[in-house]
Amino acid sequence: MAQTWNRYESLLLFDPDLGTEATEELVQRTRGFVTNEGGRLIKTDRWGVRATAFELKGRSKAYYLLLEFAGPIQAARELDRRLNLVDTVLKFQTIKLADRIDPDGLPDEEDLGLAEPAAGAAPAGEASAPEAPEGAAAETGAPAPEEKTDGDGGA
Amino acid sequence: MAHPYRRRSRRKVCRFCVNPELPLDYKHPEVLGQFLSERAKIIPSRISGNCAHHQRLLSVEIKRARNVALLPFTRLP
Repeated sequence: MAQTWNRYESLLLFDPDLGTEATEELVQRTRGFVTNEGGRLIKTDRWGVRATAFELKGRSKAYYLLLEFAGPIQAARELDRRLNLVDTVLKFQTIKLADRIDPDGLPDEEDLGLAEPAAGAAPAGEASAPEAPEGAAAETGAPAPEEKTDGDGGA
Repeated sequence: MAHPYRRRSRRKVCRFCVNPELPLDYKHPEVLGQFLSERAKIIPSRISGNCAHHQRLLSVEIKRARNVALLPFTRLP
């Protein structure tokens, strides 16, 4: 194998005032950043607009997008570099989930929360519930020992 | 007999050891938030009863959640 592949997860915060089309366009552009560098998307989860814990660039809401992907380190590095250049990205964080994975053993791609507002609102509503350990645990599984590759970027 | 002024304390247990289903992950701010004080500081394991292993993981996840504005860095009581 020419390159070692790792598994990453990025949580991105977009400007909440973009509108549906512009946001979806930005989502697709972000997915392109990963795939153009030889990465493969595993999961795209649109959490939708939710309240942030503190003000970010004068806004108290943000559109949350969770991307899970696998690829060589260049894919993650390029994603971070490109996101820093987009000014509608408020913040992002990329985390390494697993080291040296086998690219052939990856699960199929998942695309969640697309278009319909009900699906987009579901994860946010669950997260704001005071106690939902069972359902929440089934959703993501056990946290893997991770290594952080890059801190907050777009600030 | 116990000292009349000494309060009987309940034995503290690590909630993540007791319930392995409880997600310890920055994407679950509702769980992590239970280990923050009123001022959004991380509650020491001395108080919360977490074991050392889970307290270490917890502090990392809380800091990650703060970076993406899922949890506050600070909060006024």
